[in-house]
Formats: sequence, structure tokens, C-alpha cells
Amino acid sequence: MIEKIAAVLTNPSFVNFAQNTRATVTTESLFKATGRPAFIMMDNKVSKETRRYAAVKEGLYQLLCLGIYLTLVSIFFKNAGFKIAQKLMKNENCLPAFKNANEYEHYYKLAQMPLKDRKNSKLLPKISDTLKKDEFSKTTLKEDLLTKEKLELYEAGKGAIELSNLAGCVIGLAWLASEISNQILHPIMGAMGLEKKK
Amino acid sequence: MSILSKSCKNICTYLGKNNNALYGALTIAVSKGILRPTFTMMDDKQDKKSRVYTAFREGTTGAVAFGAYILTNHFVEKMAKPICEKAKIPGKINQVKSTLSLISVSLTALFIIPAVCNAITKPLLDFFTGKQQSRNTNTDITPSIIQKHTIPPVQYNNYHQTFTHSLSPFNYGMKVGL
Repeated sequence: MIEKIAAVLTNPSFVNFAQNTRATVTTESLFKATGRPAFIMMDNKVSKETRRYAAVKEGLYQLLCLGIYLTLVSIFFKNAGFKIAQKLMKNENCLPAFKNANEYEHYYKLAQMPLKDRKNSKLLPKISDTLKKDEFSKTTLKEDLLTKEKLELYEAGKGAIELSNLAGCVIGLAWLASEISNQILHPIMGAMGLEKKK
Repeated sequence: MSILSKSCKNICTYLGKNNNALYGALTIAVSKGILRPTFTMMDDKQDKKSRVYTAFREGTTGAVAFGAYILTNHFVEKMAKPICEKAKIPGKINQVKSTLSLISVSLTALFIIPAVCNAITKPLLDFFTGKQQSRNTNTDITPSIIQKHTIPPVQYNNYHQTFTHSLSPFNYGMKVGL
């Protein structure tokens, strides 16, 4: 029994999913968008009108969060944050000159695969042919991926992406989503027939 | 510039090596717990009672989420080691922690946090606003019901009251003792 549980918990796809902020936020937002309005409607201590307002607001807000996260945060903030980190750490020699955050993520995934699986991976062609660790390296990162079993992961790049995601979450989800939610909540409630016209 | 780049490298490397769903969840819980109620209270199109309840619930959710995520993370830390020992995979403890963390954070967000909020929001709101908790929990009293049970005003059958009850002195008739 415990072996089966451990096998599920250590499944590589599941582990990769769990270590990705984008995936965890998406999962959470979907759970919140369904579960929280349902719980609010069950709160009998307040009037129906109040419950309805709070529940619609919560559901709408969570869906907005998901939309903002999947577009603004995970695309704009991720790439902008990665570029800024690359510039800041230029002299630290801890992050090669990846074209963008996506190229780094492809490299990171490939570097964690066993050597025999890398050659046939769909991610390999997405790595630049000329990309090297630094100007003194004799081999490219792509050649390293095809010849070396253990590779450097350049965790600073992963950290830069995670940090950008967090900054994007605070700006996009806590601030922007709240503002947009306030603007569109009443027209939506009116269209759904949940609000009396004044 | 050198200090800045070194700090950036240290922070990014640490986050890259030790990424945990908890960091994201806690940061989002704190920022939402502060900003969401603020924006809700700015929604002038809704009546104040609904706004106050919603804003208070959002703030409570942020606070409960913060505590709940820390507790679930503690639970994950305690659970991961015995699972790895029994399954004989001591080298995979970090992977087990990551996946257990995702499962616990998701279940907490879906069930535990809203359930706790349902239990504490209204009593806490009444406590902070100084209101006595009503014995009758059904508060779905609409203005039309209130109107139905209100004593109608006295009808004077078009009789106009001409005399004033003002204490100011009359300007006509016999003046006694003024």
C-alpha cells in the first residue's frame, strides 16, 4: 500500500507539476473558484443578498486571477523577470545567455532526464546550437546534453523565474484582479439577473 | 552593483534549489488578504452591509490561509520522512515533499479554509462591529416584509391640523401671563 502511495508521490510528471508555481496556482484557482462560492452560499448566518454578492465576487475574482495568471504573469512577468535577472547576474557567471525563460526551462527539463532519453526528446531542437556556458567553454550546452550524464542545472535561472512569478502574482492577482473585479462585477450580476436594477 | 548582483544570485539560487508551493501560497495569501478587502470597500455600487461582510470574509480568508498553509506544510514535513522510510526511497524525500505539499495546499484551499471562514466570519464580524448575535439566524428579511409589519400612520381624514404646538408666543388673542 505504502509503495503505491510513494510511487504516485514520486511520479516524475507529478513532481515536475508540483514544483511549478504556474501549475500550483492554476490548480488552486480552479479549486477556489468552485469551492469557495459554494461554501459562501452555505453560510446561513448572513442574508441571501449578501451571500450572493460575496459568492459571485469570489467566483469571478478567482476566474479573473486564473486568466491574469495564465496570460500576464506566466508570459510577461516570467520573461521580463528572467531578462532582468540575466542582466543583474551577468558578471556572476551563474546563468548562460539563454534566449528567453522558455529556452532555459527546456534546458532544465532536459538536464534532469536520463542521458538516453534526451536525444529523442522534443525539447532538444528548441535549444540553441551555439549556446555555451560562457565564452571560455569549448563545448555548447547542446553537445553537453548529448554527451554528459550529469549536468549543471543553473538553479539561479529557475529561481529568477519563480521570483518573477511571485512578483507577478502580487501585482496581477492581488491588485489588478481586484480592480477589474470591482469594475465588471455589477454588470455581470445584472446580466445574470442577480441584481435589481436601480 | 556587485552587492546587488551577488544578492540576486543568492536569492535566485536559493529559490531555484528549494522551490516549494508554500512560498507562492503564503505570498499570495498575504497580498490578497490586504488588498482584496481594500478594493471591496471601495465598491460604492453595493450596500455597505454586504461590502463589510465580503471584505471581512476576504481578510479572514487571507489570515486563515496563511495559518493553514503553514500548518499543512508542517504536516507535510512530518509525513514525508516516514513514507520514504517505509517505501525504502530515502533519496526521494524532496520529491515526496513537493507532491504532498501540492495535495495538502489544494485540499486546504478547497475545503478547510472556506469551512473555517464559514464558522468564524460572522461571529468575528459581530464582535468587531459590536453587534449582538441575533437569536434568529434567518436574517432574510426584505424591506417589503418590514413594510408589511409596520403600523400604518394615523389617517386624519383630510382634517388639517391648524394649531401649532410651537412654544413660541402667539401673536393673537388674549395674552395671559406672558
